[in-house]
Amino acid sequence: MTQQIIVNSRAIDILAVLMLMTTIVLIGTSRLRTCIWAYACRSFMLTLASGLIAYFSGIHHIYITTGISLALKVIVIPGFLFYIVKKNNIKKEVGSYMNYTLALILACGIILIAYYSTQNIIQFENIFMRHCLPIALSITLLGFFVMIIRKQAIIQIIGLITMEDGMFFAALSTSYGMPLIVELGLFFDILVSVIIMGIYVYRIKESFDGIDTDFLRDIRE
Amino acid sequence: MTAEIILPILQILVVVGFSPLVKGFINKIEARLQCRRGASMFQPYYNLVKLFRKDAVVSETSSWIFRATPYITFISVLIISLLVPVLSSQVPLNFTGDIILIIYLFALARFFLVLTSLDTGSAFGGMGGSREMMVSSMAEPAMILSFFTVALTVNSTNLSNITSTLLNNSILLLNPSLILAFAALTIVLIAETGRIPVDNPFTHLELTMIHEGMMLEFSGRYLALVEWASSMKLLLLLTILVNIFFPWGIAGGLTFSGLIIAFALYVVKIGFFAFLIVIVEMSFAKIRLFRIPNLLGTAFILSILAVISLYVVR
Repeated sequence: MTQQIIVNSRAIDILAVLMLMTTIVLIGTSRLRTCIWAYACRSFMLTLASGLIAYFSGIHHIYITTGISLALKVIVIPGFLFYIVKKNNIKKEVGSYMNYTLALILACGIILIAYYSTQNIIQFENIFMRHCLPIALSITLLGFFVMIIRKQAIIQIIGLITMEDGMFFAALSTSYGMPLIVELGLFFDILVSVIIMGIYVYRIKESFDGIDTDFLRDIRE
Repeated sequence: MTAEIILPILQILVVVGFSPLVKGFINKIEARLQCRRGASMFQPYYNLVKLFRKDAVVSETSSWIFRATPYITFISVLIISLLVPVLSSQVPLNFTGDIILIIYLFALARFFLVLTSLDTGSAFGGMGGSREMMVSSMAEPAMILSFFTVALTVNSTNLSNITSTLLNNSILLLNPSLILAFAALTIVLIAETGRIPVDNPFTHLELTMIHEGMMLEFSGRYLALVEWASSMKLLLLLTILVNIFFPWGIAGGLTFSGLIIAFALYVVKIGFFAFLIVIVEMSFAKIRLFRIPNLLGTAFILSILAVISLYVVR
């Protein structure tokens, strides 16, 4: 019985680690399409993890969030991002304010901070799924980091939804998700914000012939 | 007693005998997937036979290092083949070396190859050597740290202990740190064996080659030995990867039936990973030389996270 619990929590831990690896890909790559694929992959892992948590815990409403997150995060949002990239003829290289190796090293530091700062909590609270909380925190911080270091608007959108993924995973792994109505609201928020930012990307492209958010500095006069 | 004699012989036969076949297999599958017919799977053997028959040309300006290097390279890889669990979890040279020795024997072979590339004074050799050193200076820490992750998980650096512990206690394999180490080691394997995202093994275009650049001056039996050693290195790294992270089927003792099953599963596992290498080679273009630090930096960070998460999350 306990053996089974350990295997279950290890399975979710492994999915969490895979999510972390796809987030690192987001920082290490300079290709826009790879970034979107990495996001889609991570969302798929997240969906899988939430499905497993629903199955292991027997809480039924997590199945609903799993279904919605599969439809929204794995299919709709990456599809929409690919659509924006294709429609606006966005160039394939993502500009960065920071050299990639340095960014990777800082990302490593961020992950270590997340691991050390959650250590005290994990030791008392949840004996199982011990990698989940630090990884959820580090995905949140890494999303923020991506938003800071990258120039293009699309990748900043990905950074934002990465942060949301981290929050979602933290809630899921520590307290089996938030109440259903809250999560439905969150999904709706994410969808709306991605669409609004898609329009925003289109406007920047129209006005400045490129989607680096640097151009927005020219506006203040 | 006989078993202790048979095992090392068997192991050397498998590694030395099958390593050209693995290379031929990878080339063949890759050719088929690119809608070419490709050379026969046994082509590397024909190459080796032909090269051994030919005379070696040695530059007048080269020193004894040039002549010693092929043997040093070959023999150090040969020693590694006795340090790695291939068919049985018992390792022939168990009493004298562990996972750290393997890393340093690989480094020794590489060090002499680089020395030779400088020795003959050819410009391409020196360039290949310096590039090889650049790649290895970033790949080696990642390799060491991911080996340490494995060693820390089972509290032993001895490969024989590692494999048998992981075999008997498979739940240890579900450790998320090991997944990180596995990912790091896979990237390192591709970089160390000079496969496509890092180096193109088929190119003889001067500006892009890394590993081939160092071997330009070799000919005849020297070239044969160095090529053979490099294909053995590929097979050995694959073996380490396969037998640490997927140890199922490896023989615990030294019974005849156990070894047969182990050999069958070993062929299947190596074939599968060789196929994965082909898929990677097919789906990526060779990256620019100055992008290599990105890739290897990722491997290094994954391995650091593997070690640290092992310590933090006890």
